[in-house]
Amino acid sequence: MDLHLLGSDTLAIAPLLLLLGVGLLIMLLDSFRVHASIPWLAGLGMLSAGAWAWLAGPSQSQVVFSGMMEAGGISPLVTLFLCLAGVFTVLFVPDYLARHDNKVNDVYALLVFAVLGMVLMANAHNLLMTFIGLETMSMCLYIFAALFKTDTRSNEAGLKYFLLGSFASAFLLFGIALVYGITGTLDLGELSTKITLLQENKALFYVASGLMLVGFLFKVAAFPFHNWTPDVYQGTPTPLAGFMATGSKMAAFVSLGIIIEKLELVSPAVDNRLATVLALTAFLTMVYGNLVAARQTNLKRMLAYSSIAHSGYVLLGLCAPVFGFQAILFYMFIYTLMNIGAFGLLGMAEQRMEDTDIESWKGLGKSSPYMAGAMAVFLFSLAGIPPLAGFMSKYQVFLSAIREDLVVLATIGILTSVVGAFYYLRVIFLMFFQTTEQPSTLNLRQKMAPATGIAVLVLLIILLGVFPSLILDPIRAAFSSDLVIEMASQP
Amino acid sequence: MEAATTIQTVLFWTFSVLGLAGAVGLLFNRNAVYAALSLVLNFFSIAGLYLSLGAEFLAAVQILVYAGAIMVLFLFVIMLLNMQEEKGVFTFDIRRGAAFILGFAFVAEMMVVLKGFWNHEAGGEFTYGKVEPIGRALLTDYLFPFEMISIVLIAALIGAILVARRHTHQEG
Amino acid sequence: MDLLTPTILSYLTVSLLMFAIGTIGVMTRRNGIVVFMCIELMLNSVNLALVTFSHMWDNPAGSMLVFFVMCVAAAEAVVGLAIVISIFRNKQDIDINHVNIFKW
Repeated sequence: MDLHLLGSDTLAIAPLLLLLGVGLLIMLLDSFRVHASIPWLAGLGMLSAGAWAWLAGPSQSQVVFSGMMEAGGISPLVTLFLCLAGVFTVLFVPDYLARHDNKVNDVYALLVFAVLGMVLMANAHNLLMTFIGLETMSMCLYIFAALFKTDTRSNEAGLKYFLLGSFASAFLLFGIALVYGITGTLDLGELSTKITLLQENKALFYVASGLMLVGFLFKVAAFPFHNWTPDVYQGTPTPLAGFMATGSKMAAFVSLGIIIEKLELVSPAVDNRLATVLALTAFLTMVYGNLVAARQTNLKRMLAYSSIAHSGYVLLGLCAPVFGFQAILFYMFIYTLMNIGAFGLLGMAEQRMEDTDIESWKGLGKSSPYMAGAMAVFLFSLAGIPPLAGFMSKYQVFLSAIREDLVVLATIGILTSVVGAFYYLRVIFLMFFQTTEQPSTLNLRQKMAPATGIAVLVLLIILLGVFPSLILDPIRAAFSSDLVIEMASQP
Repeated sequence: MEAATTIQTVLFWTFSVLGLAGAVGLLFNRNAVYAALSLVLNFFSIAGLYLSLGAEFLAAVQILVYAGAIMVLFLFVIMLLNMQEEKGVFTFDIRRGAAFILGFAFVAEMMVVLKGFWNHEAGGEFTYGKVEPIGRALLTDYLFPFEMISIVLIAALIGAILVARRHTHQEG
Repeated sequence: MDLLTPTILSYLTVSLLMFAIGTIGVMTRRNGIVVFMCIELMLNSVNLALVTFSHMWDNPAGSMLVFFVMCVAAAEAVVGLAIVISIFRNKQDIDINHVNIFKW
């Protein structure tokens, strides 16, 4: 490593250091009992780190710190998205924790560190950094799951997530070890120059990438490795469950997308059975998530299964190598907005953790019309109803799949999303058209911060539904500076 | 045969047998303390295997970190919680049978895949086993991950305090 | 004697066997701490494979990854045991069948 590059390298990843500083400052402030400012500090810190990365990040793709991290290309945009996920989460957390009599300010430090881990993972240019980022993120998420330590459900969620998460990490690590054994390097750039070496040792390469895939599929809760999701989300404090369902998935999908691209795992040029495995997983995840979600009576579990189904759509995008990656970045951003919104609102509604039954949302349209309206926007968007952003993101993913001749899979995706629309609409129907004698028992206390968060999210979802190019154009620009990829044309 | 190769051969066979014995002990000991001690045996043997590969630094770290720190933590928690013996370690039901079959099918499959690969002898020099090249690499090429791993540690510390501390109503 | 001389593959075989034993342990044992110890065994077996490969290629990447895996394992041990303690406080029991880890 050239030590004289240290200064410019550090500058290129300065937003990361800002996040690190904010996290440490929060711990310091907490020990000096300056509690009130901590959530604000966390939110503003993440917002400015994201903005800094986006506005001042290097436009050309480059690797820094001896090929450890990627700066430029898509990484400023990914950093912005991940930081925004953290910012929106922070708007909902203080109110929720205060209502559950669990004011622990270290949560914000962990939240900032989790975002930092996600950024490390998504921008890694070396499998070593991917692993470190993944573990930083996971460590924080294990704690979030186990946060309510007097609640047995939260204890169990923590233990379950922790044991299965580290089990999956071991598989990922074994896959990484085998890739290293074949090629002698962990650097993604070098790996992509040694593709022929990997292709020659085909059987071994299948095993190695299969093991890595197991680790990633667990993190994104894809079909055979999904069954931790509903229990863990149910035991996790609701706004943090929303963060878990969005930020960690975005990081894992971006990282998986980069690995797939560098190792040409689903390249159409080579005969590759992994593409088939990925397509099959996408199919099963979409079908399973949607069918089981339709049977849930608890809104939080329903959202958990719906997040499994959404992972299926993103996997479908991953099967389409060229255009799919752009589409899934857009998809994950929109998904982050609507899912954090839905989980946040759910958190505002619950007094105790048991309050997430769908029946209790009956008649909410009468008692608090604004909140019910916002929930309707989130659910419509999750279902993919046209004028909203959720429709545009699904459209992009299906379009990218059809461009790669995955017509059958795309058709199945569209069909399952129609089935999916049913259970989202059922909740909306309950809120607005079910007349009950007594008004809804839910008491949506409208504190300033969460209400602002809901309003911003609703506006963004409507705005991006009408003008998707606001996000799509930067994504395409980022990709064109990263790789020589033909642009997917505007719909 | 050279002396170095003989030493490696002896080290390999001793420690691989001991290590596997430790692993099997972990799998079948119904008492958590004995299981933990079997794991310590396994960790020591892995350190021995590192030594036979010339990775002296990692062998030392393995003993210090795993056998010395992590396992002490495990034993401490096991003693603290004073848990009961686990019943039914030796009974077989369908799930257990399936787990064993899957596990050994995995090994068998891997052996078929790996056959013909990496058949050369594992002797020879290992530059990066010594402390000096490792330290040099750690503070130059691997400087960034070396700094970033501290976040994992600090997050784990905060988290452990948050989760394991007794619940009080005026927290923070 | 030549047959006894360990090859790269023999080290890998040991590593694979340990990995498989760890996996079986995770799937069959019911005590949460023992399950966690089996995961540590799996991580160690991966470390053995990594050191072997690092030796084979004579480059530092594998050894470095081992070093970081050890750090992560230490951190995981802290978090995992904290979670185990908090669950034990409420239930006096860490039989994971009661936690439904592998409930489908």
